[in-house]
Amino acid sequence: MTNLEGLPSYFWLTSSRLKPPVRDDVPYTTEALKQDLLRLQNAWEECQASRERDAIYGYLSAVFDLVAWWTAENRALDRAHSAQRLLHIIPFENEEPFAVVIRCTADREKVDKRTRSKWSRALRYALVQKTPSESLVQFIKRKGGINRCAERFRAHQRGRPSRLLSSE
Amino acid sequence: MKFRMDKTLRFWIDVAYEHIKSHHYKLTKRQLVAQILLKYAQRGDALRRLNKQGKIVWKASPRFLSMLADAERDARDDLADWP
Repeated sequence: MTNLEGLPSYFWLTSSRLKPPVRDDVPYTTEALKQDLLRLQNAWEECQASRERDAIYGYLSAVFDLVAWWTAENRALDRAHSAQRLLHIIPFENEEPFAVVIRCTADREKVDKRTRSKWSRALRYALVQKTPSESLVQFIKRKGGINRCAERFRAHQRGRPSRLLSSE
Repeated sequence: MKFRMDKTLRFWIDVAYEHIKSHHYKLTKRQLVAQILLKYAQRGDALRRLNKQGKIVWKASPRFLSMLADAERDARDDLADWP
């Protein structure tokens, strides 16, 4: 057994009591969703405070990682709607999960509808085309940047090659 | 199936499990670990993401890692102040 003496109790759980019902799996609670959104809001603040050119990728990667996990559980849309309800954000018709999460976590005065749409399309393109072993930054840069990924997604949706694909 | 976790989180989940297991002898290890992970996720110390194989894994959150680093720094400072 690990010697806990001297460790702040926070790290080994402050209470040994468990609340029923006890389950075999871990439900995604409202509190956990709130923590996920808070992390993205922090990532947004950090990228805004940074002077680095690629700082936005930190935020976009955080958004991508969250929605990719939701998607793997086939729960992206309903969890995005839960996020909106949690933050009392009015839903838009046919808004997809990436756009919802961006609207919930980035400054709405700095990220307008057009930018949100562009980022969302780039992230959806990565969700469809990127392999899990490649990082989002590497993928987007390899594909020519955020704008080009957004354009490629639009072409992908229309079922025809993007004019940008010809330069590959 | 076991919960997939990164090394740091695995260590602290094991510590918490050892701490509470004697109080919950009727529960399986999986049930206890699930409860601990639930608590960690709710307080923002653990999160779920996809790994490089596209599988869901549990990871220590940036906030938790930062708290651990602070605790380690405090411990080092205390040790340095020791007569």
